Amino acid sequence: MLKFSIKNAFRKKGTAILASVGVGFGLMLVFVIGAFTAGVNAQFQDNLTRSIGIVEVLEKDVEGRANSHLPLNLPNKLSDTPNVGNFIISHNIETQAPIYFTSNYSGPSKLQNIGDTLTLKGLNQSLDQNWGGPTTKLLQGRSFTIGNNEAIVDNRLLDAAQFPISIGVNITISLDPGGINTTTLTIVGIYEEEDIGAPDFVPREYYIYTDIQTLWNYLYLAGEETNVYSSIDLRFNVETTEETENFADIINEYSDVGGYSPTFITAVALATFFKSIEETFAIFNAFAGIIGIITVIAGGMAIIVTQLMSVTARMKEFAILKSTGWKNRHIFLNVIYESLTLGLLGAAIGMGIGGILIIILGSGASPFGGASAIVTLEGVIEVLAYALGLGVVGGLYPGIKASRVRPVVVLKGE
Amino acid sequence: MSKIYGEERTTIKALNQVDLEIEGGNIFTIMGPSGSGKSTLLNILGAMDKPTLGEVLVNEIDIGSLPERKLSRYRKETIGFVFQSFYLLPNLDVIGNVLIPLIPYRIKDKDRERAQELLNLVGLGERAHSKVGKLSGGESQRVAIARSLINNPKVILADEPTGNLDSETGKSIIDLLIKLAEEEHKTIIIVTHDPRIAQVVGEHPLGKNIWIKDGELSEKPTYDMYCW
Ligand SMILES: Nc1ncnc2c1ncn2[C@@H]1O[C@H](COP(=O)(O)OP(=O)(O)OP(=O)(O)O)[C@@H](O)[C@H]1O
Ligand SMILES: [Mg+2]
Repeated sequence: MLKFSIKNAFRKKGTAILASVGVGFGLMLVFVIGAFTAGVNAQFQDNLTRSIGIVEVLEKDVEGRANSHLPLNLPNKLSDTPNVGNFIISHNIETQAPIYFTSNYSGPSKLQNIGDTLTLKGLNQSLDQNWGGPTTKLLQGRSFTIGNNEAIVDNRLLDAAQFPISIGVNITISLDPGGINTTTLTIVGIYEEEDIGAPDFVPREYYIYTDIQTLWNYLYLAGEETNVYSSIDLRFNVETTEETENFADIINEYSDVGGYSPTFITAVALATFFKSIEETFAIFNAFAGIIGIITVIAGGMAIIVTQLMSVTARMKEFAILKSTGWKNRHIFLNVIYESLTLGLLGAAIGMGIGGILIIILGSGASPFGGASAIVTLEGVIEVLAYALGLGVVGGLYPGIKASRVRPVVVLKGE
Repeated sequence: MSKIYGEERTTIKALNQVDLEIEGGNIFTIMGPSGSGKSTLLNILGAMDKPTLGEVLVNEIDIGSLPERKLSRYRKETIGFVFQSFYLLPNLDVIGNVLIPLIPYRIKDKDRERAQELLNLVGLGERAHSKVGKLSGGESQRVAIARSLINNPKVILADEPTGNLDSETGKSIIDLLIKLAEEEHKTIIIVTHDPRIAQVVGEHPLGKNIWIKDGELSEKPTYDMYCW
């Protein structure tokens, strides 16, 4: 029966293939978006996992990290916080955003998206090595040396910056919007920065690191406060985001009762930040869902129309089948199998084209950011489920119509 | 038994109080002018249609009152239909067409063997795997006859089986149907316009001619019936 139906589905090859291609394009969208969503989600989960144990400390109630001024003795005070146990510590200083590139290059000093920011940070290299920070993740070149106007840059800038980035390039940075106080750094290394894994339209923060003393010198030039830290990062040895958030809460409570006085601080678990990005995925997933619904409707229509045409043209045939003892149920099933065939062919076409598209999009400038598409078993099953659903929905009405044929009426006038 | 089409003023009595008894194992022809109700009668016998009045008793069961589920079983097990326009499916080969009634069920090797035997019986043993599009009219009708036999029905209903064939080929089809009555003990009911077929059947020991006009049976042919 199945074999018979599959053969039958291609009686009118042109229309059958057209319908399948139509369904295929819809399913291709479902497949590709599903694969990219899976990729983005995987990277997001990766980041979430990596963020476990990390708490960032900033001055309380200030706008942005660059305005956060933490005294140099705060790391010691933090180490004395009760009920949090041991943690690894790193601290850094960063400039007032934004940073303007002004020389060596006359083109636009832009980043990829509106809302992207570029931050210059100063690091204590020995603490950073212990932390496993940027200076341990060099992809090219070497790390900066102290006091030599050297910098290492975020590898994502290779794609995102609309100005030249490579080792040996001098970049002139203005520390103020007026471009009055400038300084020139030489790029000596490129390090690997973890992307947040959000879709491309989500703005990102890009980084340039130099040594902390160099940055203090520049801040002094710009009339900014020096000999402070912008933020202090703590890493606890815990397994879950909940435990991390719990330690952040303890630090915040301790600060509120004057534990670090005269400084008051805010501790934020990095995971909390990542969780807040999760909302972006909700939009993304809703989008994928809408595409799915449109596919079901459009694909279902394509199959209904094709099958109706085919069934109407074959009423005599169904009448004959009935005269030989086929039951209504058999004829109905036969039509359903035929539309399932069209749906599944559509799925094959969709996954074929989708697969090619994923390879193309994944290798070039992907609209989905750094996250690469992942073809998951769930993704394939989802497409197949859509195809089967389409087949049943699309075959239902034609199937009923065919099964209700009254042989005498149709066979009259032979 | 009567069959009335339409409602109130526009009614057509396609069959008017037809009273007919068909004994198993015989060959019948139903002759009559166009519109006389031949196909209607055949379709009612084959449970493709239901009478308006009266009953159709097959082995003492009134098939007019059976539910659709039982009717399809009756059509499958008791009746084999042969039509004027053979109605073969072009995307199946010859043996595939013979097996059509069995498609909803799992086709076993035994069924294939039987289909091949039937093809041998109708003289197309060599053509089992030919495309049906390449067959002549007579060959196509033989395939249709083999198809009607696959479920081993007791009765073959043939509505103008020779209508699309030249007279010589038609004759050979009738000979085949007669052979089925003789050798396989089938009950054969043939609707036809062709008086020569009626003659051949009438002269056969198992044969019997039935004439119909304006929905009523008559014992003897009337002259205008031969005008065809
Ligand atoms: N579904 C129907 N609705 C209304 N009238 C019908 C229907 N089917 C048949 N009739 C009428 O019933 C009468 C008998 O029709 P039937 O098809 O049985 O004739 P027939 O003897 O087979 O004719 P032919 O030799 O042309 O095939 C005709 O007058 C026909 O118009
Ligand atoms: Mg007729």
